[in-house]
Amino acid sequence: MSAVLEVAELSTAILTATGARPVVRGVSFAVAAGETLAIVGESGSGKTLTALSVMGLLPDGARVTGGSVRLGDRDLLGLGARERRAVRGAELAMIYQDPTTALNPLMRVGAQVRETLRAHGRSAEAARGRTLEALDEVGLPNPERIARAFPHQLSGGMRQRVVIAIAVSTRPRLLIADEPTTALDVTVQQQILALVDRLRADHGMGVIWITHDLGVVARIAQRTLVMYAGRAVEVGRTADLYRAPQHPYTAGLLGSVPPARGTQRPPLAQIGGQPPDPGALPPGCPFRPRCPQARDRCAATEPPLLARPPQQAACWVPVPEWSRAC
Amino acid sequence: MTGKEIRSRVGGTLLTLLGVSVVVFIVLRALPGDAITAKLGTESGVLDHAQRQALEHYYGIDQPLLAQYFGWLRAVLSGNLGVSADSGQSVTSMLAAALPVTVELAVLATLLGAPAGVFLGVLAAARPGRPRDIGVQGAALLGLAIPEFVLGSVLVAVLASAFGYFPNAGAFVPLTESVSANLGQMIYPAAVLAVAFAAIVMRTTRSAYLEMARADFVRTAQGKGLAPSRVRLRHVLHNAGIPILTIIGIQFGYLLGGTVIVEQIFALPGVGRLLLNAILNHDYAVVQSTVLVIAAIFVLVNLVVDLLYRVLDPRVRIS
Amino acid sequence: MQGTWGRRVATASVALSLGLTGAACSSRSSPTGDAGGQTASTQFVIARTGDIDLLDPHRATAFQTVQTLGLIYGNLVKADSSGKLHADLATEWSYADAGRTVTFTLRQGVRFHNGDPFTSADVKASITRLQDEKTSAVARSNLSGITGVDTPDDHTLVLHLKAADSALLYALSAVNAAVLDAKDIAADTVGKKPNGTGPFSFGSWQQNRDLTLKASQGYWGGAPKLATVIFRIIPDEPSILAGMRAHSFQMATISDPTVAQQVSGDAVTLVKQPALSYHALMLNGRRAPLDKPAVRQAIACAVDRQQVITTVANGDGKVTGPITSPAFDYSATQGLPCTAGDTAKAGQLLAGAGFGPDHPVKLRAIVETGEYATSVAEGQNLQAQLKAIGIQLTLEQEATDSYVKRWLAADYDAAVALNGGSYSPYTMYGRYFTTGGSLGIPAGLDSPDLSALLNRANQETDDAAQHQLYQQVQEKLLELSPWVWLFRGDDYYLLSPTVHGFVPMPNQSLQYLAETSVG
Repeated sequence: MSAVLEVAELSTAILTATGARPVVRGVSFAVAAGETLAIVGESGSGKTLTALSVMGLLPDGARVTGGSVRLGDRDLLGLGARERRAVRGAELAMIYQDPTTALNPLMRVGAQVRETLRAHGRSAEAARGRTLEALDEVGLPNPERIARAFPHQLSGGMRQRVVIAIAVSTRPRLLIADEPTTALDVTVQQQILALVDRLRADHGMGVIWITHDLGVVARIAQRTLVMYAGRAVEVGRTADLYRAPQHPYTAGLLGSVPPARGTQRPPLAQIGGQPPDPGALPPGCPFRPRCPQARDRCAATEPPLLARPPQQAACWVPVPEWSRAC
Repeated sequence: MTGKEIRSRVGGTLLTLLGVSVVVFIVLRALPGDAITAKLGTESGVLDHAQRQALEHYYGIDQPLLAQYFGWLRAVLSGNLGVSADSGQSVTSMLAAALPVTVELAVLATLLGAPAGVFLGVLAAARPGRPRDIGVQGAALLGLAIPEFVLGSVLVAVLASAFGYFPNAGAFVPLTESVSANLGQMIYPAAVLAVAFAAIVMRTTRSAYLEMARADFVRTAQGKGLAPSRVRLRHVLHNAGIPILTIIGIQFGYLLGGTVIVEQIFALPGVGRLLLNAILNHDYAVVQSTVLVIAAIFVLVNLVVDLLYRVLDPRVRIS
Repeated sequence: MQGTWGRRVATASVALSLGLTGAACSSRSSPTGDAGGQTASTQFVIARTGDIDLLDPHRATAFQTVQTLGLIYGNLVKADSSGKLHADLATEWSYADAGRTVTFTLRQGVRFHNGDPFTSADVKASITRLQDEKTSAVARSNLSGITGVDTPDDHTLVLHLKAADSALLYALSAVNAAVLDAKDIAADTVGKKPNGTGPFSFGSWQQNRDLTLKASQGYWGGAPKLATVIFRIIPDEPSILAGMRAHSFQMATISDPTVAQQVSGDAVTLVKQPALSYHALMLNGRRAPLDKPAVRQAIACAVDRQQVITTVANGDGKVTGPITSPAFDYSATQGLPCTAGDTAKAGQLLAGAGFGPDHPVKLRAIVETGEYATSVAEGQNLQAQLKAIGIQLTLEQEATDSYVKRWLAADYDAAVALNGGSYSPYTMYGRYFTTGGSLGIPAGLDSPDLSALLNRANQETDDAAQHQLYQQVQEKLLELSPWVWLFRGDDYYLLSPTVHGFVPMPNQSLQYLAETSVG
């Protein structure tokens, strides 16, 4: 399968009065068509900012400082604002965590879907038709009635479906989902997961699923990227990662017991200490203070992504050399 | 609106107006002096007892307070707003002449100031902290700091000296007589009022806009690849509408009662001057009835604003 | 009393206007006039800050009302600019019975504006109305000396008085003793549609906007050259000046010296006229330490009156003694126990009364705010001047209504006052300084000598003797110093250079509009 998105050495910094704080530091990954890539990490690891950098939706004060983001054959970072906007929403779409606040409360739901379509060149009539189709695709019953409703008249699950409908109405090549199920209750979570997965399969859409919930990862992601302190620390096929994590952080997240389907793990409890402040990183590997496998070499230089077949991991210490202490 | 809502609204209004009438009545009577001292000043000392009594009877102030109040209230309820103690003119006819002037002034000032304020507020908030924002805020501060009478007097002086033109020299032309002549007289005072109006609306717009701009749905809208102007207007500004509409409504209501300085400088025969002269002359009937009418209009304006809320924000509809 | 709220606005806004109007060239002429059927030469617009309040001359007290109704109505006699009485509706008058009977010969062929012929019956009805309590006429007390009115024929009127009373004739010349049509009185239409014998007839009145008068073609003195006179209300004095500059008005009346100061250039002519009203520091001689004449005299001696005028009114005014009528023009300071401004003598007088730097005189003075432009400035200047001789003057600013209340009750040690003047000294001071006078309380002094002198002067029928007696009244007043008389302020008239024939009057009458022309 061809790569829909190729990110190489993406770096983003937040500009403060005292200087630029790097929050995404040379992250590289690829997403193939029809594939779900999960990006996993604690809060502060830079996963959301990576997604926003790809989308071109960084807040004021944050800026991409290096790297490339290729969607198909174009580097998005080299595009002007107008061209970027033409891509966003049409070929590239993002959905967010809280469906309640993600929709304009004063606009009917159907109009919000139509808006995207109109902005990307559809005629009024085509937009109306496609809106109803999209609402139907995401599993909403009675699309005409729903289209006329305001967000506050719908339940949380329905709202998230609407958000997804907005995102997929233009048949984007890539969908980025930033923890879209965290705010929903468990049953609804499963439904939404299933929905996105089905859309991916039906339309060959690439999906980046950002989460800290490993149960979700196991369920829908073919490949997984683990981030720590703004860097990718392990990347590979999900199954491989789960079976044999090559980085102590991943291992810590997973614990010694492979997760059962659908179980939610609180991984942080298993690793002592705090994630580092991106503005004050210790020299060498940023995970070293919390790492049970730390060596002297780790304090000196930060490890790049090294080949640790079948995945890649940013760790000086190969697994066979790991001590059993956890 | 439901029947219950309408009933409670009307009931509340009547209660408010009643309260206003009592307060005005009391405050007027509490002011030192009366119509006689207002008319005669120190010469009132020349009156002998019989003369004073005759004058008090003429002005209707020899009756006990409660009788004065209820007499007036009864008259108002039957549609008679009273009569000016001196000129004998009915308050209704005085208001019929003066009210349209003030209302027109308030409307013009709003039409000039509100859109300008909203426009400037969005202009400033779209690029917060940049020179544009600082410039707009500085201008607004100036507009608020300069008092109306300075602005108005300077405008009149400049028009006269530099252009040999005094806009209000001729007899006041009501709107019904000639739209162009009337606007020629009203545009300058309306512009003076619009300056402070725009400044206040600009500030509210700016802060409401800034707050709304951080909302999640704005990110969603940007994520759709919408043009920035559409995001600013349909998403941010529309949602910031409620506080902006509120401040516009408040300012308009304030203008209805507060145009007296501009009316003085530009010689407009509006309610502000009418009320001021009546207060100075202790012309009780005029003051009481006029204040009541203004209060009623204010309530009406509030009602309109409330209805507009419902149009603006469908969530309010269903409450 | 003059003045409106507009004054406060004017005062505040003047500073800004000063810079701009002074700098900009003011002689840019652009023809702005009023729309309407009148040609510029016959329409005459007068701008003023306040409107009349009613249409019944017998109840008129506000000066705009008096000014305006004075053009519509006539009196038996009227004063001219020298303060002497001359014929109006009465062509001759004579005294008999030691001044207790006055016989008037009335003018023939005069008609009211509605066509009714003028006869003695109209005068009698007017006087009866004035004396009726129910009318609430302010002139009533001045006419209380009339015991009977006879009308032997249509053109003769005889007044019977309690005693000779020269002030009475002046009282009859006032607008609020105007002659009304007896039919109007009977039909009770007096305050509704003005109908008089004056040079102008009533056209229309839109309250707070415009008042229009039309020339009365049948006026016995000859029809005025101005076909229409319009009084336009422009509440703000700087706006009036701007309008004059823009040639929107032919005439205006203002009272703020700071606005008058800005008149420059050829577009507007400023005419100043000393008023009959006078500025004074009234002293309450019934309270210590002002009950000691020496203390009052010290104050009267210490104050440099010219300095007050220069400070508060840009020098627009005239130092005055008690009597301000031009017909009785006496020295303003003769009678004072010193030369005005002699602080050394003032110090001596104080010391003699037991006061000095270690035992200062402390006085509280009320000052009226919001009525006329110079009140507070006067108070402050007097405060500074009296400080030099060790008198502490504390100012208590009061809004008009509270000021009036305290003034009438003499609830003060001193009062910075602007009191109305009149052509007759007895009218001015009888009510204060005669025993039983209606304003005896604020007079602050009882002096039987002064009372007797005033009454004698009023009853004196010989002009020369009367002149002497009033001079004695003036000097006595200055000697006793119940008050410190300061100055007569100027009334300001703004005229377009095309206006001819207008003569301002000390009592603010506009009667010379009957002879004014434009062109």
